[in-house]
Amino acid sequence: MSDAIAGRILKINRDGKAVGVLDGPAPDKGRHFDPHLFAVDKDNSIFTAEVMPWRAQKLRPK
Amino acid sequence: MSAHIQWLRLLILAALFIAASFFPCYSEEAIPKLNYEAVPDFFQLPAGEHFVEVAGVAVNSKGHIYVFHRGKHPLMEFDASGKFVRSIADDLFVTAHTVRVDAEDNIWTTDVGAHLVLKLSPDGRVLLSLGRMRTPGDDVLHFNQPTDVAFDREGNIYVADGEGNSRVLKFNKYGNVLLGWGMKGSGPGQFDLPHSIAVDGDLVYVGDRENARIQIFDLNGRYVREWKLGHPYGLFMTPIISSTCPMQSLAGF
Repeated sequence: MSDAIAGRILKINRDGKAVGVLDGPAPDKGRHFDPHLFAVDKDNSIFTAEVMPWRAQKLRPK
Repeated sequence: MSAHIQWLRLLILAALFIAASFFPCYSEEAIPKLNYEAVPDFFQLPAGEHFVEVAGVAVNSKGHIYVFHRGKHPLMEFDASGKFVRSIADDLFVTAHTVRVDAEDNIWTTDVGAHLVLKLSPDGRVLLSLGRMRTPGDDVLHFNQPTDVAFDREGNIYVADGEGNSRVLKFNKYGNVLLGWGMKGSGPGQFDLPHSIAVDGDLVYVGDRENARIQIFDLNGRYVREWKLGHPYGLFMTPIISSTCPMQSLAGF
C-alpha cells in the first residue's frame, strides 16, 4: 500500500499486519517521496509513480 | 512514622495510576524497514521529453514498464532496462490517473479528466471503453473521475469511482455492468474517495483514502472487514511462491 501523505509504502500480509515499510530514498533535488501508485516486478523491484515531484523511480532490493 | 511512609507510598501509587491513565504506554511494534535503493536515472526518456505529474505505473509479463503521467505523451512504455520504447494513444487521454496490466498483458487506464476507463491491447489498440468521454455522471454508463481498475480470475472488471462518486462498479469482461456498491460516508461499505482497488482470489480490496482504511469485500460487494494502516493511495497485490503451489498468490503489498 502506498501512502502519499505519510510518504511511504507499506508491505502488508494477508492478516492485515504491516510487515515492512519503505520510507523512500533521501530527497532528490529537494523532491520528497510521493508514492501515488506503485508496481512490483518479478525481481521484487518497486516502480513508483509520484505526482508532486513529476517523477517515476525504480527502487531495487539491496 | 511507618504510617506516614505508608500514606506516602499510597499517594505515589495513586499519582502513577493517574499519570498512566493520561499517558498510556503504547507498545506498537516498529515496522521493519524494507532495504531498497533507488536506481539513478533509470527511465531513459527521449531528448526533450520529461514526465509531468506521474500518476500511474505498471509492469507487464515481459518486464516492460508503463508510466502514465500528465505530459504531452501521457502513456509511455519502457523496456526492462529502462529504455524508452514508444508512447501510446497520445490523443486519448485528458488527466492520467492509474495504469494496470491484466493477465493477458492488456493495458488498462483510468482517466479522471475524461471520466473514462480504457482497455488497450498490448500493441495499443482500444479494445473497450467504459464511461463517456468528458461526461461525468453517477448512473451505470458514466463515471465521475474514476480512479482505478482491477480484475478477477473470470475477467470481471472492478472500477473504483472515484474522486466524484463514492462507489465501486463491477462489469463482466464485455463491459456490461453487473452490480455496484457504496455511497459517501464512513460506515462499512461506504467510501470517502475510493482511490485504489485490487482483487486477490475471492476478495476485493478498496483503498478508501480519506477514511484512511482498506475495506475488503467479497466479489459481490459484501463487506468482509477493514484494515486501518494509513491513507491508501495505491494498492498492489504481489504473487508469492508457495511451497505447495508455486503459482498461488498469497500475499500483498
